[in-house]
Amino acid sequence: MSQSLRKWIRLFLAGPGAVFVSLVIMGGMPLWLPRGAAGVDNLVLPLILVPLIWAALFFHACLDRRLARVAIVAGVLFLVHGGLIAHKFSEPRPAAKESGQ
Amino acid sequence: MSVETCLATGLSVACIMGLALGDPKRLRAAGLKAQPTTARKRIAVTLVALLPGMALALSGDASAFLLWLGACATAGWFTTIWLGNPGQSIGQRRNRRR
Amino acid sequence: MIHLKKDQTKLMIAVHGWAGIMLGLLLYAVVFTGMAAVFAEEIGSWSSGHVESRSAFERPIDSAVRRLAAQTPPKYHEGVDLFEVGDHNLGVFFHRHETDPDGTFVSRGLYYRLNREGTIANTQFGTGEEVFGANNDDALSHFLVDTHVRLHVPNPWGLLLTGIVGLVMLVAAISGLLIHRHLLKDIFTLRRNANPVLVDRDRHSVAGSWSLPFAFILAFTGSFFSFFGTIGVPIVAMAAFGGDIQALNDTVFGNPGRPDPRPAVIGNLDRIAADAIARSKEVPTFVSIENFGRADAKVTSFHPPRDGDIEPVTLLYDGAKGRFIQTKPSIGTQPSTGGTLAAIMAPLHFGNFAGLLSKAVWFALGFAMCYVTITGMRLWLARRGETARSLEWLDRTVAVVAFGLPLALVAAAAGFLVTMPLGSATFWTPTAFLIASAVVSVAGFSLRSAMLAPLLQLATGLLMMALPTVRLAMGGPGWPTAIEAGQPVIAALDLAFVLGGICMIRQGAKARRARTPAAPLSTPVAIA
Repeated sequence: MSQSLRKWIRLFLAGPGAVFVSLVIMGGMPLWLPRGAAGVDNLVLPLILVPLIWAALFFHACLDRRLARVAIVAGVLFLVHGGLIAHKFSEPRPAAKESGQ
Repeated sequence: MSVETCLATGLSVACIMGLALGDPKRLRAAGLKAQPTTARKRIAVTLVALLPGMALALSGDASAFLLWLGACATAGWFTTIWLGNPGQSIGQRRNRRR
Repeated sequence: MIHLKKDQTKLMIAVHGWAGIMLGLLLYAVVFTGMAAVFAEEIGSWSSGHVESRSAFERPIDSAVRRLAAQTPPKYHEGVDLFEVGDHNLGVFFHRHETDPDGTFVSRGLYYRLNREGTIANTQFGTGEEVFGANNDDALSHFLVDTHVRLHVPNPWGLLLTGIVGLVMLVAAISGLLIHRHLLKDIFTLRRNANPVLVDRDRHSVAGSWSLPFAFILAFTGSFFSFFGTIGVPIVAMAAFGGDIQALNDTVFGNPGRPDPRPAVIGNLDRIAADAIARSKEVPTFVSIENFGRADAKVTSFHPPRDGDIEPVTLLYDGAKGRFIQTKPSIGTQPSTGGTLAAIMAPLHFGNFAGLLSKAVWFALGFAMCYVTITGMRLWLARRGETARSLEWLDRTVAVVAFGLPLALVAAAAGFLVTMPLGSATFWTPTAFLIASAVVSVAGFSLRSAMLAPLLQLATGLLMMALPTVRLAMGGPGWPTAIEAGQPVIAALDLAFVLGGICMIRQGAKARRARTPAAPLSTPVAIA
């Protein structure tokens, strides 16, 4: 793979890729995080952590020398959380009732 | 601000000022001939500066810990600016006295 | 500190530099107004001459709220918000939750602003966002907060913009830590006689190193606030509740108990307020009533943190019986990791957890961050100065924004003080800011670079020194009246403006004597 192409892929993963994957993670996290004592942890923690998740993905994309590893980490996170969201929407459930636990 | 927070912050700020006064790179950069603090002494003073913060954190007083951290950061910055002032030559004077 | 490989360091330097240069000026505007907004409440009291020191919740409010409820359509009794406005007067917002046709979740209803005697001074119908806009007597503090929160860009774009600026600050803080190889060794070193690039570098890195933990905290909490309602809540509500934001709000902020729509007279609010003050040792910052006039009514009072804590205190009462139920977390019905983390985000960002002292520390650290932003941009320009003369316009723009923003804000304060007694402060406060910004921009394009900064500093200093006189001339309370009324903050801010003005004039005069482009930033006081 040429240096120029590698640069563009890294730019994509650090830029729009990191934004998109962090938003999907935020959507998927409420479906697997423990609800905690008050039953709100799974809803509140993704909202709090999203800037840090984005920063982690951004710096990983910038600093990891192995571009394939960056793509695999981002891809797995995207697939797991995207899959959880898709699974949630494939099940017909009452709109106003939280599920996923 | 409780008395404990005041004392803790005062002690740490005093240590930061001490570290700044004897900082070897600062003295070298300013062309001052004062004897810099030895590495061992610097580590000891740094630990003493950090101790009050650790004590506040361990006591569970989040408010006091944040005040201590913020006050130390502000004091450290202002001390560096003050000592970096062209008219400021504390290290030189200290050297002359010796 | 952290040793990266050469190419990684090079990349991080590029990320750090470009992040700053692309959004540095916006970041400076957000941080500078945030620094001033730390004292928004005090600036509000100072500028409007508030001399009432007793909270609205320490005075009788029960009969007034009942009277308002009787004249408000029952459909807006779903929620009632009680809070202080102006000189410790009461604001009451009867509302219900609605979803607009475009899918926006809003609180809509009737907002009553009461005067000191408890009679209606002003009534307004609209959404929460519409009715909580600027008033004549809080236009200045409102302007400051609005600039900081969304740069006056309409929502959600303004919040998204400041959120992105917060992320840029986060990136700059982390990349700054990664590229600084000798963070601790260099933390006391400011070379004065080195070449201009090294001098700028030392100024930038020393201020950045000392304020690094706070840059991280403020960027993280700031971007959390910006993205919370604009992106976070809709996405989490979509994933967990099929898009029902009300259901998410009920789960996160709601109170426990079965719905009981039977009519029931609300308990005595004066007794609830007195009990809440006695329990928390602080007057409420906000009181919210759910299902006013129903058997399942709940009253929640929100208070500043207790001594030694940074998490605000929230007390829950049975509305119909007026009975205390529990001290609850701000979020959720019992303490939890997520609830505690969410509750401390505001005190961490605003620095209001230990009164004026913590606010002063946060103000100083905000100032350090403004200094870091501007010196960083100057460093980036200085490094390219010899090779890229075409960047002269950017150098000039940095000077215009760095020194022009403080001048425009002081002009807005002067505009407020002059027009508040005339009742036109909501118009003239932003207008004065815009006029001053226009004048500064014209000066920026017509004056020589070396003259620009000293001149703007001198003008800012003079205007700052004139503010207390303008305030007194327009009928504001004098020092004896303010101190007697328990508002020493008015005298303290007068003094702060005079002292700040003197510092600015001294710096301006010093820079003028030096007449070199680098001179204006020789000390941090020069930029504020």
